Amino acid sequence: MSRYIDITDLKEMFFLDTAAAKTAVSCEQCGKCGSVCIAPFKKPNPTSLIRLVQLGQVAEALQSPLLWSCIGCEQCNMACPNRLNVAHLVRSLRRLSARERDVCFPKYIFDLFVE
Amino acid sequence: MAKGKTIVVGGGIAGLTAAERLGQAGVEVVLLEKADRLGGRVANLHRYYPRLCPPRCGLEVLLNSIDNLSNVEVLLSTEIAGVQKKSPGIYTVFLRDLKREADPYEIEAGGLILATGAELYNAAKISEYGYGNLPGVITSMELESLLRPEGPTGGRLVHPVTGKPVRRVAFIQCAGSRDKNHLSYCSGYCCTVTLKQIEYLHRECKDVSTWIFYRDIRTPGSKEEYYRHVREEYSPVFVRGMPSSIDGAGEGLTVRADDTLSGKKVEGNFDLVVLATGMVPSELPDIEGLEKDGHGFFPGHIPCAPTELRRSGIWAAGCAQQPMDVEDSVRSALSAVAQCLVRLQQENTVYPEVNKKKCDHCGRCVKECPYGACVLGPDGYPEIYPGDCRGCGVCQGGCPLSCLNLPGQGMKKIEDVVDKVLSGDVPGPAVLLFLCSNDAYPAWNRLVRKDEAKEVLKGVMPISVPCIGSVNMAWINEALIGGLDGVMLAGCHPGQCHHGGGANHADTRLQNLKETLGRMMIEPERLCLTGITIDDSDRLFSEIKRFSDVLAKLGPSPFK
Repeated sequence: MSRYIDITDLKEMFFLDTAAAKTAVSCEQCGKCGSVCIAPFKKPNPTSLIRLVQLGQVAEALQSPLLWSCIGCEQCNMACPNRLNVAHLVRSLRRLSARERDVCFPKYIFDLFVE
Repeated sequence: MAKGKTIVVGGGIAGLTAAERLGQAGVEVVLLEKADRLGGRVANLHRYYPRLCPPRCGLEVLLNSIDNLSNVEVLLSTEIAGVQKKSPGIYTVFLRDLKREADPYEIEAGGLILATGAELYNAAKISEYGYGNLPGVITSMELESLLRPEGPTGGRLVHPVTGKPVRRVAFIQCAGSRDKNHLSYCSGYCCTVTLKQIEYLHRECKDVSTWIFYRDIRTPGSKEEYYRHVREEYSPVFVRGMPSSIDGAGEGLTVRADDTLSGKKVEGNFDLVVLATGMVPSELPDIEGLEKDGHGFFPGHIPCAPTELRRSGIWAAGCAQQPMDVEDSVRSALSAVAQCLVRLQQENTVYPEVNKKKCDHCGRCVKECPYGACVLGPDGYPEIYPGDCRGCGVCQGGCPLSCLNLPGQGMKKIEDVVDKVLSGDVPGPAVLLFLCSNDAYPAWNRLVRKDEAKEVLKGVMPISVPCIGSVNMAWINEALIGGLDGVMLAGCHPGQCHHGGGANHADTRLQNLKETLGRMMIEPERLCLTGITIDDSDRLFSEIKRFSDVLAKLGPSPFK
């Protein structure tokens, strides 16, 4: 497999609902949501998460710890200079992620509760 | 009133605008165009941004209006072969008729608007993108032609070589721009052009997808709104990273780049790759005294006077000034028109008078005048054309026999100061202070209102001059001989002088004078030159204090 991501066909974008897709394509990667985000696991930060989606890497985005670490404070939405609904994109991805058997509720977060 | 016709060089959007407006104002205009039709590059565009309207609409208005103006003469297939100053206020312009291959002929002009425009950078020079070798790699200008109904494909978006429909279009921004190997500058318009073309493609062609490889998207002012609109409406894929090459080996064109936003390598396969190239200035014969910038443009005295060039009666408009879009070209043409009309109607100008009794025809004034306003007349004496002179007085400062004087300037003022010193009214070290009226004098005015400065400044006698380059060294001699302890020149910082080299002239002259004084066993430290900006009154104060201390240490003038 090529080391290059093929950006000719971004069909994974179709997994997203309209509002989430709009956020993804409209984002200009200023980095503000990433800097205000207070999630404990900013892996990746919201800005980089959006970038993954923009490049059609939704499957990779679904593995992100950020999805389960987001506390829903919506600081990202407040900060966004384009008034995009970043939090909604994160929630949508989490919903999609929950449908994937091997990703659903990652063990590292489960462990946090056990301790 | 200036004499002669006004010549507008270039029949693109800037030249047409200038010629039409001047024509409407009743000015005799000659409009030159190298090609056999008017309109320039704008005539080859398909759509303008941001309204996506056809350029023909605005062009027709201008062309019809010029058609109806009997005072606007249009010379097609004619290029400018040279420009010479003929006499005060008049240029001789050499024209070459490109159809007849005859020798250049000349016409007289009272003013010239250089709207010679720019060419697109030759994309073939950017070898990594394979322009010229890879079918399907085109420039943004070629995409414009391709989309025109009059274009080679009748306005249909098909591959220019294979004729197959085009579905995937990639744009490469900064193709050859902001690159020290090609054009080191940003042309400023290519980003918006690409956004416009994306919008047009998505609107007019079904199933088109678009990609942009970019470094920065530069859309100043309201164009930012346009950028946002295109991004949100048509969702082109933005990849921040310049492709290193284009691979045309397989089907379509494969472009690979490092996406610097995600740190991932990306590749895409496209039917068409559009290179957004920048602009280089069109060639123009050298005009004596007209300074270009390092790239060959005429940016003027930026930022305050962008239309001002170093030759009065000559203005640049449009892309001859710097790369710009249609909106800015029209604006630039209108400002050149405004300046031209001012020159044509200006009556009361301040210019130096020549004392012919003293003049020995050395020609230094002609050489040093930053504006070419001073010429040696038929009788061998300097002649200054009021309409060309901008009153800087650099000729007055340079004249070895001080026979040029601006009204109200001259030896009389120095004699008054000397009289004051001789009468014993001036305490402490007596300092004659020349101040540039643009910057140093306003700074001085603020300084003298301060109570704490009064004690230090009581020995200082200020004289305001239009430019520090207008201070004649004979005045300084006179002042020193008359018993002043020191002379200080407060001008602009080098590079900030409105008249170009005023501060440099003053510096050179002062250095020479210092040498002479040294030989006469008079301390050269009694003279000093300093650069003062308008908000520098505190520094002016400390400079004066420092200079007074130096003079106090040197003791009174040996001529006292």
